[in-house]
Amino acid sequence: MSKNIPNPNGRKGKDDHQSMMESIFKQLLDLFHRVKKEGKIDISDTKYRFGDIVAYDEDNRLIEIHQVGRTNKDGSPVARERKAMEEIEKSRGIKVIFHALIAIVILALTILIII
Amino acid sequence: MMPEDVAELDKKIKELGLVILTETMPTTEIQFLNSVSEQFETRKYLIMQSDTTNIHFDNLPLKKRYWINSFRTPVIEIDNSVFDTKNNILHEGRIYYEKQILGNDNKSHPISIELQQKADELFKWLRKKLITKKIAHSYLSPKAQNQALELNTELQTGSNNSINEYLKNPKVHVEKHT
Repeated sequence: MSKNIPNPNGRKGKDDHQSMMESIFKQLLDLFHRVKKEGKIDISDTKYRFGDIVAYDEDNRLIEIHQVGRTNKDGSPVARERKAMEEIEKSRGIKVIFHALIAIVILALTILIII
Repeated sequence: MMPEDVAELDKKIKELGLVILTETMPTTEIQFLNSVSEQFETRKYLIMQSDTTNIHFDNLPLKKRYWINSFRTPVIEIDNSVFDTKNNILHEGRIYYEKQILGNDNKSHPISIELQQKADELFKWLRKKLITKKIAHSYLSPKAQNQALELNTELQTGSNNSINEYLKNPKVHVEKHT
């Protein structure tokens, strides 16, 4: 009997997510005026979402949005992530930069195989 | 919050035994601030005195500064509400903290119970005493609300949306965030 496990990596997935967020945050902080974790993004007058990492310029204008998340086998963001990204891009006209969490695992496995 | 609300916040921070640092510094030599209003536009971190010996610094080579890595240091982050006097705009601020940080093993570990309690107490105090008005999905101090109504100050959220119309119509339905 198969079971759909929503969080297959458990705590490890969270650790990888945080490590990737840290790396992105640091790079953006060195480039932009202000960078936030879980930055609030207004979608409409009554709805908002959160971007994993968002960057602002000196005039407090939102200029970059980064999202870290899981992917399908073909490397595309899972449906939940895709829907959120499309909604943000449509309402704010800012492309969401997606960072695939699974890429870290594949890269690590590839390196192990080569060694 | 308006700038005058900040003085009350400083007092509460001191009562909680927290110290104030800027997010980035020119060197790794720690320089405490007396108020969150100092270097106003810079993000501040509130840290427990006992944690100041465990600050994790990372280098920002382009800015030639050091960043107190908030993924690895237990902090409460404060972004001040910035009042743009030239354009009469009050930008939303934020107080934020994470309950877990990364350790040297690159695994998540909970922050101390003591810091969690101080953070929770600060949040409760803010909501009860200072930023008591909920407008759309933001919180305002009465002073900020009065400023907006009397002087037509525009209130902008973190993503530059104006929420002034909600002051006139506070019963607008707000959809839950996702």
